[in-house]
Amino acid sequence: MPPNMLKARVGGRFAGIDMAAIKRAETAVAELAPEFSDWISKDTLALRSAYVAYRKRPDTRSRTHLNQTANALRITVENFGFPLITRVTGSLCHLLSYLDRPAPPNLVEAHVDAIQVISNQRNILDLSDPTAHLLAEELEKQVAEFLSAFNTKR
Amino acid sequence: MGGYRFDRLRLLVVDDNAHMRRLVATILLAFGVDNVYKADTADAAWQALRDINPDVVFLDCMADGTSGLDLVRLVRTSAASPNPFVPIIMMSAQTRPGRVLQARDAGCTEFLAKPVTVNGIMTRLISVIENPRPFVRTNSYFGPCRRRRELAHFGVPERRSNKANDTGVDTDPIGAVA
Repeated sequence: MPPNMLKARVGGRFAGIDMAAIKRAETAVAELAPEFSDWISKDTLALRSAYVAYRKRPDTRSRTHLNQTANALRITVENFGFPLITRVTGSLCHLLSYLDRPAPPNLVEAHVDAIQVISNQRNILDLSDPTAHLLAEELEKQVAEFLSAFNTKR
Repeated sequence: MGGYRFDRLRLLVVDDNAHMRRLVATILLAFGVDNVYKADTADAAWQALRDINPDVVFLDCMADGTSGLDLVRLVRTSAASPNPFVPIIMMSAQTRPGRVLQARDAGCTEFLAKPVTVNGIMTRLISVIENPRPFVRTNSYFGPCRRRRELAHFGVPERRSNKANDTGVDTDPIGAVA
């Protein structure tokens, strides 16, 4: 085995994970929190724009872009602790990811609308709001029914 | 930092999502890495690889709409690659087994599921430092050995014993590590 140059570069001695570094990083991430809302707003607008393009021309390219945009939003909200948008966006990604034909625009639109409303209504960003919970549940149910019907037809 | 001098590292973060680039870079800087470079497209990443020759690359699989996997293959196999052995940590929200296997077969060193966490980034970074994997070359693959550990054979005959069988299975490492 040749010498481990990377290990040599960092000093060559590992004495366990530095919990102070972990703490510093967690603090640094927490300090980004005030910017999260802006990030989510931008990603939500991008999702709307991708959906409009998909509705106008529902081909593989627009659908792939929509799927990527939805995934980008999901990752952002999941990373920064917005469980309700995470849940609805996850439902949308589920709808878009597992099909080899265009997803029904109305169902996609329902998700996009819901995400935009949640993003605008800062007071319902978590799962504790009963209406929001019902909304998420209904969207997931619709997706499950669509996928089930699609799989049956195959 | 547990004996490590992360400040000596040059790291490259490639992600088409600006928020994710910022998040990952923020975490790495907090670990003490002084030199964190960012790229938002495969082209920019390729240029950065040539310009700064990073020690480790954190790569999103969907950068620039181009498959990040293509970039990994380019790094591993192109004659113009500045460092075919550079450790590449693939970050992806697509965690289905097929996707992870694709990343492995493209030549990724580690896989990090999104959403990323502070602990996840730290453990992958330590892993590429502490557990470098020998590189192998087959007819269809060049990259880190894909056998992560010596597993029991569970009674299955070892395929390496069949010299006529060239299926791209990793065999003897060629020495370099990443």
